[in-house]
Amino acid sequence: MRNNDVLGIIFGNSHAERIQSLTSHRTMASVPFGGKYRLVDFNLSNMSNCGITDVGIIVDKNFFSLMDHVGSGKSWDLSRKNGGVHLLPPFIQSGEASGDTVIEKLYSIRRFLNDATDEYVLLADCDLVANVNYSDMIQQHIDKNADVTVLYINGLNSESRQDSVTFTTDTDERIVEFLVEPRAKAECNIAAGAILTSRKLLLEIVQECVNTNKLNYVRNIFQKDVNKYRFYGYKHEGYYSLISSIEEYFEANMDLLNRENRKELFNVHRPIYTKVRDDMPSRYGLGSSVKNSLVAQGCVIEGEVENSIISKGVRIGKGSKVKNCIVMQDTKIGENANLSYVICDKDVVIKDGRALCGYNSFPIYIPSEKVL
Amino acid sequence: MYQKQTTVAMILAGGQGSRLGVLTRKLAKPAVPFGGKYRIIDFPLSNCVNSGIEAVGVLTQYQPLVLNEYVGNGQPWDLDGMYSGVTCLSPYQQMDGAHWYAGTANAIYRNMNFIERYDPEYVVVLSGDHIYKMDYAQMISFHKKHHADCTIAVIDVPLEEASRFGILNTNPDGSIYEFEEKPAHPKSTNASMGIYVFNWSKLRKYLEEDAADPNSSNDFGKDVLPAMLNAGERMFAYPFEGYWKDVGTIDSLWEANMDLLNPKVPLDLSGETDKIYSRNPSMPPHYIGPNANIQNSLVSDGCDVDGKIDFSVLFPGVTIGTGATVTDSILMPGATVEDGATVEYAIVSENAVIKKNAHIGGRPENIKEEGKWGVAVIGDGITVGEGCVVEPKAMIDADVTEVEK
Repeated sequence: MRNNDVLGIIFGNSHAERIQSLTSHRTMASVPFGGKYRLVDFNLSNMSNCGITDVGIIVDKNFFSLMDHVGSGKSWDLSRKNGGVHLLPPFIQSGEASGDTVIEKLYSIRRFLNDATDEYVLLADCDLVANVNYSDMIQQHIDKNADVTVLYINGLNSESRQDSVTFTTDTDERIVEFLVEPRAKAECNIAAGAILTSRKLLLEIVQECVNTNKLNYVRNIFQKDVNKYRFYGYKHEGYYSLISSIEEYFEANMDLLNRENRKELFNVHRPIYTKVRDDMPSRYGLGSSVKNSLVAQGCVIEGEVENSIISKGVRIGKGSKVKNCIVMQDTKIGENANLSYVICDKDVVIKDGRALCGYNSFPIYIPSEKVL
Repeated sequence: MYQKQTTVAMILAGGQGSRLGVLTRKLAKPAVPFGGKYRIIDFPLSNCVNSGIEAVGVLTQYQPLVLNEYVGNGQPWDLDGMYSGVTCLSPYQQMDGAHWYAGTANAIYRNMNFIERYDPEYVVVLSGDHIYKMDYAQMISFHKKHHADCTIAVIDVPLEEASRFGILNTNPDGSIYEFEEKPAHPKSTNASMGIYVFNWSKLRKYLEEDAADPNSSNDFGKDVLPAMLNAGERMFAYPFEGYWKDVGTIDSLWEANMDLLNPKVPLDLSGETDKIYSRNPSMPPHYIGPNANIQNSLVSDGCDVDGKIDFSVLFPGVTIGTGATVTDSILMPGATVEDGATVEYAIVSENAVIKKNAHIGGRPENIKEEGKWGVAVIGDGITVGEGCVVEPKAMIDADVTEVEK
């Protein structure tokens, strides 16, 4: 049984500026992750797993790779007669300017929001890597009779996260105060890029913000109206990673080498789906040596790999050493090459004997299709 | 309204495959997992799509549940068109009563209405238990060029093995003058691959005649093809070059899997074109642990390996514990080999569990007695207890709990 009266909205481009090198040709949503996934897979799967059948993905630029990835939505069971997944490029009427703020983006899709019939809307960014139990969050929202429920994680605030929002709650999870850009070093409740509210209230808030030209919803609604609306927090337990820099992106990938993290993220009862390519299983040649690594399908590995994430269709030649690297799909590494702390984007060619060495806090990034 | 299709393919997938023993206890042979992520039927289905054939019937009879579910609406193979696609065809009750498919020809005969909907010129009849890549379009061009009524694909086999196959003896122009089923003294080495192209109008006539003959066993090889030859129809042998293997026995199934690890074997599944498509489970990439050592093996999504793997094929979701050793073996989806266990020359079926320090199978060089060695097979969902030993060539269909000393 499906259908829970919730419309999913994913912001495809938001926070792309945080990992500029990876998003120069793609949306945040389509940033490759974990050997076979794209960041959008986590939200699409979480939404699909909680029974959401209607999802809109707001995009404004660089969305070719996302269109290719999402396709009809079939991979997430979101190719449906009623609803399904929609890519929502800017819809600008004459005399209007499209904006970068969340409010302006929502305003530009107000017809889509108006036409929907769902009671609730779940708004989500693509910078969270986690297996979130949205069913539970929706249930809590209803049980507490909340106006707005904000997904949060409890942890240390990242220094690279300039615009983070934290909040304090009472014992009933009701939010009593929002803080923007706090400098706190201690553990705190950090908003994790997913907000549940009613569709009617969302439309009202968006209209009000636009009318008064107060486009920062956190300051003008969350902070100002913290007592007017019933704001609640929903805490995500279990593995998460909030990606706000290339270093954090690197770390989040490496987190997958931990068995417990994998178990929580790839929960067998709430699988993470992705568009699948018909690759054959990966082949390990004679003389290969692979330790502590995550390897997708379609690879041919004849060299040494350690502490690395190897995506689909990668080739690693004899005598090559790949350590602490993220190698994205279809990259070809020749023989006797030596890579350490390198992020290779898609279709990179590393010729025989090349050597590159970054550092834990400074992984070297090689853009897609570069030949080294 | 169904659109006309010049060619319809019919895949014979109803056989029990009794020689595969416990592997086909709950599923039909074409649904047996193969090659690390596929099932056998992926090969003929993908060949059809890659050859431009859009209308496919899969004839099922024995244990069809897994096969029906797997083929589904045909979407993984792009066989879910509006007016064409793949359809599983099970035996059904007709006006004259309820009948099982009596033979391969009878299975096609009873589904003539399926074929007729597409009003085809040609019907391709395929086996659901062969591993090969082939462009049927080329075979159909050959068939047209020779104005044939029936074309049979043949592969050149070594003379000493020819007596295991159905042998076609041909004239210099490629036309067939004689069939010999498993001849003691073969005249040629053209073995039939069980792939037939027929002109539909001709096939229809012979199927109807065959059905009317009470003495017929309703089999293509035994009845329909000889009848056509005796009547002087134009029958040609289409020579196929490349990899082809009938995986009807434990040994041949094991060999065909191992062939994928041999770079000299001409069966390439890694190409960008002519892929073999399959249904893919939603699993993360596989994880190779700090103590793992993997040589010359295939590993699929969702595996978690921390042992020593040599010359083996691991399907999705296989777990190999620390210090476990797996050599020359096939581990089907979800199988688990716990810490310190040893698996040699074995096929471990879906979701079977090999507990700590158990020992499955053995190396041929360690078995002195002739006839005692063979590939060990563990049935699906079977548990082999801690420290238990399963002899080579054994076929296990119940949990093993006793420790042999």
